[in-house]
Amino acid sequence: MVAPLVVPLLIVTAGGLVVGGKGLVDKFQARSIAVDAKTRHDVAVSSLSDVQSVTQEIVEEYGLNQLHAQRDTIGRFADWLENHSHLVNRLDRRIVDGVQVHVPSIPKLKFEVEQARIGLAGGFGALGAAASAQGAALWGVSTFAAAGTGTAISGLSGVAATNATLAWLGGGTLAAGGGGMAAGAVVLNMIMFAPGVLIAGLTVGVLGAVEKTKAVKYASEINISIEHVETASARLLAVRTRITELRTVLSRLVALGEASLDELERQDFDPDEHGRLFLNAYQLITAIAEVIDTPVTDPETGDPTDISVKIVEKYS
Amino acid sequence: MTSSKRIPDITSLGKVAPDRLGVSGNQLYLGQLATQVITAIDTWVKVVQGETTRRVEIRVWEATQRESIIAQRDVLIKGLDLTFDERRETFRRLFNSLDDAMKAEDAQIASDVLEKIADLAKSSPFKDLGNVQFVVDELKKGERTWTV
Repeated sequence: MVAPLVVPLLIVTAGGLVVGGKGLVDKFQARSIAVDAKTRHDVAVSSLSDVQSVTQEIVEEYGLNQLHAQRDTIGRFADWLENHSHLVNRLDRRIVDGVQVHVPSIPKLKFEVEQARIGLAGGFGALGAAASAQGAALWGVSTFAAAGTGTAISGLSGVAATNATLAWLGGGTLAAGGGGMAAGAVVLNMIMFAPGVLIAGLTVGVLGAVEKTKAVKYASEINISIEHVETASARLLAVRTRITELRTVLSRLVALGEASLDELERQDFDPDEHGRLFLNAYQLITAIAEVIDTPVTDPETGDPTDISVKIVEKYS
Repeated sequence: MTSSKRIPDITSLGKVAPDRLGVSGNQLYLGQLATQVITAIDTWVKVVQGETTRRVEIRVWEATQRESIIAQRDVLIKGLDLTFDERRETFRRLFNSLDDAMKAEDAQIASDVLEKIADLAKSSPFKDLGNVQFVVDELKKGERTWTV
């Protein structure tokens, strides 16, 4: 005869293992979700870094254009003025030196504290259940069951009560076709083991579910951060276009300004006769200065407030 | 006997003296066990259901956030493309006008055109970026009449 408690104990144990297994799968999935998200973020940031490097080179080249225009073209006009006995206030204009991209650091995945709390509670619960289960089962059997002889076990005492209880747990005495006391001892251990496994399994299940949610939240925040990073890449490309525009305008104005200065310098200057030439050069120099002063990005409106990746220009 | 080493001494079990409430220690064990198991199962069910719901909510939140960011980016890119194209064409026309004015030695027109060139260069193509969210919101409303 199969011991009466074996099947339910196996079901309880199997239930605990299944739930615990699901919890472990959730925990592994959580780790995987978090690692994948971090990897994708690293790739996105690396890609942004590549775009920034190219943009940086373009900005530096434009900075050289600004420097050249400031020193050679505007400086040449200032020299001409000083050579013609005029006071000159030479402004020290800022030269753009690069762009910086500030990507906010990604949040860290934290579940250690809560994990430890739940784990400890579950561990104590499992130990408590194991301790309680054996005592409770023995009490129930010795109180309500009958020995193989038909005598109520509650009426026995000492070794007889022990033997009868174990024999009952083992499915009856060996003589009656049961597992006897040895099987009863095994079942007694199972009684201690099964609820512990169930509660431990449920605890792991809870831990796994919580951890998976945290990982999903972490991955979501990272995915949003990645979108911001991709927006920053698009904006860096726009900054390149803006620099190309400024370079084109500056170089055309510088070419016109240099030609105008060439003509002005060729003259034995007479304000009445060559006033138009001077005005022409002065207008161009003023326009060049204004373009040099123009920021590459717009500090007031260039950064939408809800975009967390900041792009700012640097000056030498 | 070797089996006596493996078999626990349980001779006193089931014989625990009743306490003041008339409940034996092993009855308490049974109550404790039932409470622990039921509490653990209840917690597991609640946590698993709650966490599943939270994960769905998080994914919906993420999708909404990403949709908004992507919409803003699309408007940004499209808007900048159009802006830069328009500015490029305007610069081309202004420089042609400047060439003409300089050839004609018309200082006044040259001055005006240079001022326009400098103003256009100074005006940031990014100036409307701060309004992207507003434009996106207006587009989403669908109730606004766009005058064109």
